Amino acid sequence: MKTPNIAVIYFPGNNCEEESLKAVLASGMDGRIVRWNERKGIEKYDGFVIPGGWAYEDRIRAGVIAAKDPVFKIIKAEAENGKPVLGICNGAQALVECGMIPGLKNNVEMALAPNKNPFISGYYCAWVYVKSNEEKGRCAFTKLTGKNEVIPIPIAHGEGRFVTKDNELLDKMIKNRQIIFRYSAKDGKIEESFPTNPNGVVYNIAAICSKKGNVMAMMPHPERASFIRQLPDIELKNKFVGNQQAMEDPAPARHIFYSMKKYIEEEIL
Amino acid sequence: MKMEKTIEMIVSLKVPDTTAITALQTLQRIGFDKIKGVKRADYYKFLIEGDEEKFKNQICKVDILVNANKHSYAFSVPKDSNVRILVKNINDGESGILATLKNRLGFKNIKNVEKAILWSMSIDADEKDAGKIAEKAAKELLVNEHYQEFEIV
Repeated sequence: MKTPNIAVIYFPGNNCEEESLKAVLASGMDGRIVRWNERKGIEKYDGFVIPGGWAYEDRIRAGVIAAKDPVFKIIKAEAENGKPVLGICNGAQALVECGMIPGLKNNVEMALAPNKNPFISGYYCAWVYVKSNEEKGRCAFTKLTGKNEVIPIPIAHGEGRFVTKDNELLDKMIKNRQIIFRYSAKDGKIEESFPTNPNGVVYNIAAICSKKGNVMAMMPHPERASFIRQLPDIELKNKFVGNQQAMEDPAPARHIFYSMKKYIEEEIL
Repeated sequence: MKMEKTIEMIVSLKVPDTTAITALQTLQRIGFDKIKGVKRADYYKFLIEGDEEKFKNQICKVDILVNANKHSYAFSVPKDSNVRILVKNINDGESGILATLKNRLGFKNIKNVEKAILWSMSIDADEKDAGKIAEKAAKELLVNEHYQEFEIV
């Protein structure tokens, strides 16, 4: 069988494209960093990762200029054909700004608003936990993640609070099972207060998928939590001191990329 | 009882504003070819008590708001043919700026501060159409109405 081939889309100002590609490759997929203006032939890729950073310096609003870029028309069309699209952090902001998430209407239904944090205004960077909120396989990125599984993962954003003026949208997304990851405590308990909920987001939302489940906008960074060496757990890492290979072993967030591979093998190839 | 006064301050970049340039290029690319120019400024609205002139003379020297090396400022919106859109975050009290001005910089007479972005657009259309084009541009690019609001000023 062909190996899934992923385009990690680079916009000027992104800074997570290399780590995202490494997580893709470590998960057994092929991939390449594709610049935003290398649009020719981009539809041949089997899936897309929109990485984190500050696309176009977050001019006007985080993710909005990237969302208006012509490359998104192609990505949107490919997503409609079922191909998986993972937006991480700034990539998630772009997916929301182009209307692909939550994707219930053909327009922008949400925003990622500035964090509400009782102690720190603006950008906030920390390790947190997210809990899988839906059954295994609900979306292309949770084919290997069971409901209630807790994953350690870092966040690094200033605008990560999913908001909407549509009072019915949250209920619709819950009913459609689109809330894929929620911020939780280490034991999986959902607490709405800081620091479990690091940015004041409603319903502790960390990741939302499209109705079909092949597109996911995720504010935390799975590519920064895909290798044992990346985890902040010193006790765990101490077990592997001197064993470089073990340090490269997968950390829990790698399952998001393994799931993407499995989804492509089952649904696209 | 002391009289409260409202003072507006508009702070613009003297150097080329890459955000405004990107906004213009993006608007034109998505079909707003009648928009010929875009400028952007930070907009502050202060509610104060006391001497207005003294306050203006002091506030324009606060370098967290106006850096004299790269910013220019004015205390009123220029009167010209450009269409202006004021964009403000909803439920986003500027308590941080207010606390800094009051507690760290000694502006005890400030009662409230509002911050917004003031977009100014040169549009090749008559006044009525220009307003409609500006509103559409705001909705399609400059504003996300799920957490921001805007008014044409």
